[in-house]
Parts: sequence; structure tokens; C-alpha cells
Amino acid sequence: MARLVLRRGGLALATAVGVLTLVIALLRAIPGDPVDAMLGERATAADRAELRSALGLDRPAWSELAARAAGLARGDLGRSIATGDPVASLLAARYPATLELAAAALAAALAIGVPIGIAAAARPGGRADRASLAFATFAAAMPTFALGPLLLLAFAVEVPWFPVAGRSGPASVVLPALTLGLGMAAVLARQLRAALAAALSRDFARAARARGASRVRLVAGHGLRNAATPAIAVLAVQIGGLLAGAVVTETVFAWPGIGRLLVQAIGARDYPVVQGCALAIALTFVGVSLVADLLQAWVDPRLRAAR
Amino acid sequence: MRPTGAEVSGFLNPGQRLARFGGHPARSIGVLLVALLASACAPAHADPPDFLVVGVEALPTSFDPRSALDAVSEQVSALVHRGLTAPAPDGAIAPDLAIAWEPDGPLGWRFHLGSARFHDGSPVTAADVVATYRSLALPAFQGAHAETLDAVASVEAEDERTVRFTLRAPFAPFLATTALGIVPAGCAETTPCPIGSGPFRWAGRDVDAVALAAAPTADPPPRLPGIVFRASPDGTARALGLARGTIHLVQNAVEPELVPWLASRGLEVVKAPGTTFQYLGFNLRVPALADPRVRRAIAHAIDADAIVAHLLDGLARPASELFPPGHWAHAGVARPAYDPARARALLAEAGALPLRLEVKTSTVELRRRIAEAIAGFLSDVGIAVDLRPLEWGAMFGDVRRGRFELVSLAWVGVQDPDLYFGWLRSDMAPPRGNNRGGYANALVDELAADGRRNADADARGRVYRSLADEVARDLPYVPLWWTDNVVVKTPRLAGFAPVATGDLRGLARAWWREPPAPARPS
Amino acid sequence: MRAARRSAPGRRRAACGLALVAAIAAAAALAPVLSPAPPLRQDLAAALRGPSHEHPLGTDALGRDVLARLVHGARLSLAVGAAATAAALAMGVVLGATAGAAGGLLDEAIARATDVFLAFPGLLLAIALAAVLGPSARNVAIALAVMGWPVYARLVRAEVRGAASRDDARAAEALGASRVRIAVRHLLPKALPALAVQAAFGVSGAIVAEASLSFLGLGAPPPTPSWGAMLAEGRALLVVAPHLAVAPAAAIGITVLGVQLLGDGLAAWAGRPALR
Repeated sequence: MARLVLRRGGLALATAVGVLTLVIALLRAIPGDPVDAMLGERATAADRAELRSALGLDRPAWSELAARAAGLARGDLGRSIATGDPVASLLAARYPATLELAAAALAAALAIGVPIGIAAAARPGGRADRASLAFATFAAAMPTFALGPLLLLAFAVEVPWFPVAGRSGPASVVLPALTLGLGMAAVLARQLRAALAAALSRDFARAARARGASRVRLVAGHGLRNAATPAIAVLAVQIGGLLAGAVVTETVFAWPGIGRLLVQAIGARDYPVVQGCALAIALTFVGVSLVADLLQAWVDPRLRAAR
Repeated sequence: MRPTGAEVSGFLNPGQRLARFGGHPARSIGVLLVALLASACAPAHADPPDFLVVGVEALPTSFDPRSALDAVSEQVSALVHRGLTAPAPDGAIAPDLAIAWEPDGPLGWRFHLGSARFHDGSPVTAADVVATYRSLALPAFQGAHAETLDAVASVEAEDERTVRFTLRAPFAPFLATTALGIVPAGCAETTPCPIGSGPFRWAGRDVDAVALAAAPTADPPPRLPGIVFRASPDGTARALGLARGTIHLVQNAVEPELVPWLASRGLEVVKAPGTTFQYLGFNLRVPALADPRVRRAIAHAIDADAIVAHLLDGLARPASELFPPGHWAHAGVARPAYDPARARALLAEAGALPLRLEVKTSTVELRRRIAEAIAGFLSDVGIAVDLRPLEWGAMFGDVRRGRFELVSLAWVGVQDPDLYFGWLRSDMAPPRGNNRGGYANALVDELAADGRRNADADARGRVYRSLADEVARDLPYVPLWWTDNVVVKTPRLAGFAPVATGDLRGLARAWWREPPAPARPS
Repeated sequence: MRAARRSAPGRRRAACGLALVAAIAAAAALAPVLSPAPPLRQDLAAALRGPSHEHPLGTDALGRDVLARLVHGARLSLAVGAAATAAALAMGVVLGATAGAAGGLLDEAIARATDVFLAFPGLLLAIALAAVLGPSARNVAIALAVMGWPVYARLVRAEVRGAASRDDARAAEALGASRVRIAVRHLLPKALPALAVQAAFGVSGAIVAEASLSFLGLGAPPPTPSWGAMLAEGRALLVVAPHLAVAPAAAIGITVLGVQLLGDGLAAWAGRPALR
């Protein structure tokens, strides 16, 4: 187990470094001088030097990378160009909102996807199965920013059940969570169905059925446990999509999270904040993947030994 | 590589592996999720129950009256800080901290202070006034008050309640500048200094909101316990906040199309003609725009009437010049008529085509739409347009640095035509002044200086009429419209009506007819 | 050799998808004929009208015909989607084949790079790139190509590595053919069916991503009609003019549905599970 943790942790670290490199490289990849772009030709030399050092452009890339990594370890992510606040505190203020949205979306995805997947697997080829396929196709075809306004129209404007924007209480998270989680629910349902159907067709399951176990109990009890491992794998991958989708969903619902901060910072050309947000989301994803890997190993002890 | 879809042979016996959680992985994951959700659900901000919630497009950028340069900052700052004088609704000067004033010789002014107190309890004395004005020279304010500093030679406290200003030269608009908020001498050297003497004091700040609480030191204290300014860049969210009762008042920040809808939902809509002047600014350093024929062509190409009627729902008056009728400086010049044929002819005469120009706008939905409409009109006469939406702060920064070609801006709460001095004089480029477009016209320079020197009201009127005529001829900018002040509010709030300048000082005298009902659960 | 299973439901799905996609592509190509109203002509007096005889889908806030903008937006979406996928495919195939054929350090390096890119949430990368490059359709295509290449690279690399040890490849090597030649002539074609399926999903993903970027304001700047930008405007005016949001949402949904059905059907037809 320890070796697994080390190995996975190492990969996570490597990914984090990779992300950091990408984020730094992006700024230098802009055609032209970003400082010029931000300040204009009439800026004083002092202004330009200050911005240049704030963006880390006065150092070679590798030195910047080291400095950033060190800063990251300290929790220092630079300062916002627009407001002068430390980026880290901006992120800290917005992070819980994104977490709340992601967790709610996950819960929604599980609440919708798992029952559909079970129902579909219980009778392969039956009505539930076909319905789940239709649902999956529909949900995949509707991106969040298309689904969001439609849900808003139906449930916030036509009937005022939910607030239309902002984070103001438990009801305000329902529509954003549904929007974000629906796509994931669809994928989850199909993956679960596939895994369950496979599990159920194995000998031990047939034996259990021969012994008289009810179909439902079979599916829910034996099937789920065995399907948990691949389900967790799928979940981990989907969470990446969830975080990226959060950026759009937060814009649709004016949800005060990191995604919205990212979009606003882009509009304000506030590169330190953009970099900070991108880093935060990417590192979250890396962290979640790590946790998912460890969870899988915990759930399926054979994995621990194999690695 | 993670295993994908491989099934497990033999099944896991829960009793053996997961006895601690008494269940199988799915359940424990569920528990984890709920815990995560519960912990992440930090109590969402709850506005204090009796506070008036005002919806704004963006939060104030400054909490110090000396650096409150944009409209929202000015409006909020006016509630927290008081100056020697205050603008009266009809454009005149009303007493505020100073109860009386008189000229003292050609270059002097003497102000007599009343008895007011700062939020920390200390009385407002002449020493505070002196300290505030002296602090305008601090580098932190980046020359934003260069004009005042140039005009005022010295500020002295003659005694506890009397302040004397000595001007370097006759400066007619001096009184209009005395609305600057006064801060205590003790914190005048620090920025920001949020302590003021106004009816409300700073009570807290959040990511999306700023709270003010009634200040007991005010005399008389306001009847509202407090105000929360909640920023939401989304027009629909503001409108729906009003409809549901989470927002109680919005001034000039509701999508015009939504105003009739809100009225049908039981909200009160109060309109007043306003002095906010919307215009299209030119950067005359762009070669094409340096040609007055091109500028005139652009003026003829834009159908301001249509924009006002259809995009603004009639909530504005098409403008011809800086001041609307009713203001003493209104000159009565003619508007450039909507005439695309004439525009095309002028462009052809100037040989300017093919022409590609960039219009900068903020990302606020309505502004963007207006800019797009303007771009559409320009492309109708053959000018190709690139539209650049930017966050307001970034856009304003660009404008101040001269990085723009065409930009739609507004002057909010203009009192005195001396504005022309800082706006159109050739030596007033930022950061010293507001001549962001690099306009240079010797006649305008002279007239603006004249208007400033001449204290006689009639003479000033004549000077500014000539100036308005010259501006209408040379078109350093295209006048678009004067925006009405539109307030949408809950009927439970009484005692507040919009004023022409668009400021919110009236909130100090507003009160709840009945306490606001708790917002519907949302 | 694996016997190809051609399943009838797969054929049906593929045909359905193909029909949808073809219809949309045709609509896009025939845009000027279908809706003579120019998508950029504004008419403020006719703003925010609902569907009518003159404007079958109504008008937007500036009086522009929604149907015209929808159909022209289809052009943009399909063009960007196809271009981005083609570029990603090209990059991915080249890198993947190189990695698989070369082996050793180069292989490791490319594989790690692929892992890192795959680990990064794709849309986020596209957003960051588009933000840095500036809003334009071309930059969106570039950003999406960078977002999309790892999937193909991984696929091709796996195929090439797997097939390299097979008999026909070994035989060719024994006969003296260069490794590049082997890769191109013997190994790549085996990967084609999987690549085609993946490319179909890639196109649908690219269309959605382009619309997302336009929605956030990072795509082609106004007044270029784009489904994402139309949705953003529709969302702002949801209360007064719901038709503005419904039209582009439906368009995106139908297009993506068509492409996905096509991909699904191709996958079933070729006898492979869809690697979504």
C-alpha cells in the first residue's frame, strides 16, 4: 500500500509540476510582449518593470518555475493586477463555492445515474435499458451552458421555484448542480450498467440466482460491490470534466466560485489571477485523482498487491 | 494504469473487509460525500434583516473619498463622507459640513463649519479640512486632483470652525470642487482612510458586497439601519433579485426591457430626467479620426434615436451637448442628424475608406449591446468595426492610457461646465486630466480657461455657449444621450426619489414603510 | 484476424447520425439561400420579436434574424469543429506513431506528455489558451487542437506498439523495411477504425467546446454569429425573449446528437466498444 501511495503520489507531483510549467509557458507564448499589451506604449518605465517582475517575465523560465514552486509551497501566488489583493486569498474566498457546486453535482450525478444504471442492468435490452441509452445520448448532446438556460427558463422564470443566479442558500445550488451533474449522471449510468451486466453474467451470480436470491438483491448487493472499482475510476476521470464544466456553469448561474473568477480575470487581463485559478483547478483534479486511486486500492485489495 | 471494467472474481464479503463502516463502498462513499457537502456548505451570506439591499453592477473600487473616481465609488462614498458642500438636486451648491461661506477678496474663500462629528466620535474641525486638502498631494492619489492642487494656493485653519482657502488665480468652479469628502486629520496621511462624517459608516466587506451601517454620530441619524451594496454583473440576476425581494432597490442598473416586467410584479418604478451624459469618444491620435470629416461622418452614421427608443426602452433623451435643457449651461446647439447618405459622402470626400476601427466596450450586457448597435451603424456606411469587450476596470484603465480608438463612455453627475477644462484642453492628458483622446483645439483651450477665470455668471454663460458651439462644429466626441435616472424599488421603501445627478444621498432620509418581508426562500 | 461483427442496430444508428449531420452540413453550406436575410443586418425597430412570417425564428436584441444567425453559426461551428479535429488528429497520429515505433526515451517522453495533457481538464486548457491568444475563430481552433491531440496519440501509440510485435510487421522488418515504413503501411491502417470512431466524438466535443468558449466570450468576437454567443445573449434576455436561448440550444443539441449517433453507430458497426 505504501508503495502504491508513493507511486501515485509521485505521478501526482509530476503532473502538478507539468501544470505549473504549462501555466508559465502560456504567458511567454503570447505573440508580442504581454507587458506592452497590458500597459500600452505610454506607460512609464517604472510601471513596466513592476508589471514585468509581477508576471515573472524578467527571469528565465526555469528560474521562474522554481520561484513559483517555492511560492506555491508557501501559499504565495502573487497579487492580482486589478485589485492588488493576494491571489491566494481571492482563491480561498471563492474555493468553498466551487467545492459546494462540485459536491452537489456529484451527489446529483450519483442520485440520478446509479438508479438508472441499476435499472438498466437488471434487464438488459429492456425498457429501462433503452431509456437509459436515450437519456445518456440526450445528456451528452446538451452541454452545460445550453442546458443551464433551459433549466433556468423552466424552473426559475416560468415557475419561481429556484433562484436564477448567485449563491444564497440550499435551493440556489439545485439548478447549477443538476446542470453540471446531468452529463456525468449519463456516463455513470452507462458505465455502471456495463460493469453490472458483466458482473451478473458470471458464474457466482448465476449460482446465487439458482439459490433463489432475488434479482434486485443480486444486482444491488453483489453487483454493486464489484462494480464499485471501475465506477470509482470513471468518477475520477469525470471529476476533471466536472471541474472544467464548473467554469461554464458558474458563469451561467453567476455562482461565485473559482470558475467565474477565472472568466472575470480573463476579461480583465489579470494574468496572475488567471494563472492562480488554472493552477487551483488543475491541482484539485490531480488531488482528486490521487484520492480516487487510493480509494480504489482500499476498496479492491487485489490492486494493492498487484502494484 | 487503472483497471477498466475488469470484473472481480469472487465477491467481497463485507463482514471481512469493511466492518468498520458496516457497509460496502458505495455507502461509505455516500457518507463521505454528504460530509463533504455539509462542510463545503458554509453558511451563505445572509444580509442583516433590516438593511436595504441595493443592487449595483460593480462594487466601489475605492473606499476613500479622495480616490473615488468612478460613479459607483462616488455614490457610495457620498453616503459615508461629507464635504464642505454638496450638490443640490437642481445643480446649485448646498451647504453640508460648511453652513456658510463667503468670498474674501478676489482670491479667497472663507467657510464656516457647523457641528458635525466623525464616525469615531471626534468633531469635524478646520484642522481636518486642512489636512484633507493638503493630503491631495500624496503620490497615492496619482495626480487625480491636480486641478484642485493647481488652483488652491493654500488652505488655513483660522480657528476651530473656520477655514480659509486662497486661490492662485480666479477659479470660477471652485465651489463645485468643495464637495470632496473630508477625512479626519489623524488618518489623512494614510490611504485608504474610510472614516467619514456621513450618515452611514463602513460596516464590512465581502467578495460581492459592501455593507454600510447607520452612524449614530450623524445628525440626524438615518432611519434605515444600514445599506448593503450587492454587486451582480448579471442584469437578469438583479432584476430577479428585485422580483423576489432579495434586492430592494436598483438605480440605473436594470435592463430596460425588464422594467415593464418588474412593474407588473408589483415593484415601484420612479423616473427622473438625468444629467448622465453618454458619448462616443474618439482617439484623435488615430490618423483617420484626426480628420474632422471622418468624425462628422461617424456622428451622422449613428441613429441615437433608434438606440434610445429600442435598446433603452425610451429611458433616455437623445443628446446634443454635455448639459441637458434646464441646466444653466445648456447652449441649445443642434444635434448631428441621422443621415447615412451624408456620412458616406463625407467618408468618400475624406478618402478615408477602406477604414477599420476598434470600439472598446465593457462586458456589461447592455453596454455591449449598445456598442454592437453602434458598430452595426458604422458598418452600414462602410466602416469595418472590431468590437472589444473588456471587464470595466481593464477597459477604463485602457482608456486612461490612451489605448483605444472609439469608446462609449458617460459623465455621471456633472455639475459645472468647468469639466471641459480637464476633458478637452490640449494640456490635460491623463493622469493630469481627462483628455484621453488627445484633442487639441486652441479656441477650446482659451474658452475653457476663460470660463474658469470669469466669476460673472452671465459672462460664463456666454463663454460656455461659444465653447459648446465650437465643440458641436469640431466634434471631438459624438454626443449620444442623456440617461434618465430610473429607480426600481420595493414599495415598502419610502422617502427616496431619484435626483438628476444620480446620487444616493437621499437614502439617508429614507425609511421602511413596513419592515421588509423575509425574502421568499431561495 | 478478428471477424468484423456488423450489427444492424449499429447500422441504423450510424445512418441516423449521418442523416442528421448531413442535413446540418447542407443547411450550413446553403446558408445564404435558406435565409436571405443577412445575419449581420441590424434593425433596431424590429428587435426582440417572436417568430413571425418574416422572421421564422424571431429577431434578437438588435433586430437581426435569428434563423440567419443560426444557420451561419452552423458554418462556424462545423468549420471550427472539423478543423480542430483534423489538426488534433494529425498531431496525435504523428506523435503517437512516432512514440510507438521509436520506443525508448522518445516513447517515454511522449507518453508522459500525453499523460500530463490528458490529466489536465481539457476545456480549461482551451480556455487558458484562448484567453492568451485572444478572441478569434482561428485561435479557438488552435486551442481545441491542443486540447484534443492526446486522445489520438494514446490510441495510435497503443495500436502501433501492440501491432509491432505481430508477424506481418516482423516479417516486413526482416525484409529490411524501415521502421517508419512499417509504421505507416502496416500498423497505422489497423488503427483506422478506432481513430474514425474517436474522431467522430472528437468533432462533437470540439463543437461543444467552441460553443463553450464563445459563450464565455473567448470565441469569435461579435458580431460574428456563433451558437455559443447567441446562447449567452439569450441567457441575458431569458425573461423577455426565451426564443433567443431555445434556438441555439436546440441547434447545438441536434448537431451533437447527430455526430454522436454517427460515432456510436460506426463503433457498433465496426465491432468495437466506443471509447468515450
